[in-house]
Amino acid sequence: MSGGDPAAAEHAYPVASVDDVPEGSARRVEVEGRALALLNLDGEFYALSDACPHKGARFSMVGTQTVVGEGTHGELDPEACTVKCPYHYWEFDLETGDAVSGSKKRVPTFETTVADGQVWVRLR
Amino acid sequence: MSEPGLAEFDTDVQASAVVDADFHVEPTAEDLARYFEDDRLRRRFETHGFPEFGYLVNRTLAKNYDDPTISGIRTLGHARTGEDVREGADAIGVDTALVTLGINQLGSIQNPLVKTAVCRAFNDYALDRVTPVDDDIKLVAAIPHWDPDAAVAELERVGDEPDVVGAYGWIGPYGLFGQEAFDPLFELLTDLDLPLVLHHAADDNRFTPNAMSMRTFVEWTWVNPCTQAIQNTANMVMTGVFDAFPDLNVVYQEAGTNWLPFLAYRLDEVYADHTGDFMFVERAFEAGQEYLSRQPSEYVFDNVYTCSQVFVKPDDPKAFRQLLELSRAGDTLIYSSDFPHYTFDPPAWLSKVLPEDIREDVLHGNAEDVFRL
Repeated sequence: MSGGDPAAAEHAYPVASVDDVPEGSARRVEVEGRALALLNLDGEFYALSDACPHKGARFSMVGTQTVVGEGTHGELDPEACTVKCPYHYWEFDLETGDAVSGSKKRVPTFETTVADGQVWVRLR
Repeated sequence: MSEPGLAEFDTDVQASAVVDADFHVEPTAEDLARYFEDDRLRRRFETHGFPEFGYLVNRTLAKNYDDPTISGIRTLGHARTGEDVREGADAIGVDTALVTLGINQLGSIQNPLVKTAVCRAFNDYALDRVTPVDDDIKLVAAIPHWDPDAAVAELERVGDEPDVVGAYGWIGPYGLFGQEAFDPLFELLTDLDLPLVLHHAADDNRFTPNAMSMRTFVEWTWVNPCTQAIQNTANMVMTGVFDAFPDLNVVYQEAGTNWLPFLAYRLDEVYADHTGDFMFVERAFEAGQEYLSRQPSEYVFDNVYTCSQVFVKPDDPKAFRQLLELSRAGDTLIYSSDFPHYTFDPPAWLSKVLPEDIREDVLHGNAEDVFRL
């Protein structure tokens, strides 16, 4: 997450209000035709492509309730700054997008900025 | 945007329909106990319940599968009823769910009478509480094949129910299906036009010398069932099962897919050099049959099907295409989700990575044929 006037940044788009994504949760947003997962880890916002490079699960499902029963999908780890995929638990670093272990695959991540209660994402 | 708290799956399936050949239903022990007929067995079952999943597993092997904080065995939830099945199937983009007993560690119940009673209770429970909810929920009925006579009796009891589309058993812990003792079961299956569906047996292969030599979850859970399926298929082909029962279909679940061409061509090659054994196989000996009627590979490709989960997709597109072609995936591969386990392969994902010319067959056509939907 970076500071400055996001509106002045090239390819920056407002995607959600801060209140839309409570701490420890995720939300799918669409920007310029791209589907992103917006994650809030202890007040820090992270954005990444909303499709796991393994089998396409949506990272935005993390923390949501299972379809039936009382479990939850995937896992957010604020200490490690990682997300675990809801389908198969592949774990990715939210800063770099690199897989934490087991795979060399990478998920695209995007810079985020908060200004006036709004979360902005820069697509490049 | 999705609403917080609601899961949103990719259900953009590139096929006209999806049949899921392995959607696990997990009734609780209490759910099933009500369907036990024998009071003594019910009391026994109520006392001990199901074996805990993974209790035989060295938990350090199974990071994602039995970690209680991750609950990999119920990543997508817990389907107990028909309503749960419909909700879960809709969420992941499945039209028709073929439900199977999700208690695959059943073999860890030592007493065969209890295990057999569980199969019977599950079938009654599923036909009472699961399939009536929706026309597109069908049952692959559990059969107690550790006792071939009991398996026949159970299939005679439920096999002609309209919602029963297959007979469900386990590879690994109970011996190979080429044994003649299974002939009455095969005869009944072909009479009923039902496939034999074989799932890997979870914990139940733990205490073998080979399994005790394995050190990783990869070997034990994801390679071991494939080798068991290869061994079982070779056994069924080479003991003449498919000569005696040419219309019998066998469907493997969670046992890999790409071993079909290896086995088919391996059998052809070595059988050509070693035909002499076959006439001494019990089935052939009694029938006075000297040779197999067809090349071994023909049985493999005509009588054997594999389910997609866990589906291997090499990153190299050429290698992927070749694997599909060599496996004759358009004729032999059937989609399965393995709901609710963490190894779930979404139908939307599979539909997008498969070549267009086999997509419809894999996502629903082959299942419709084999399970006579």
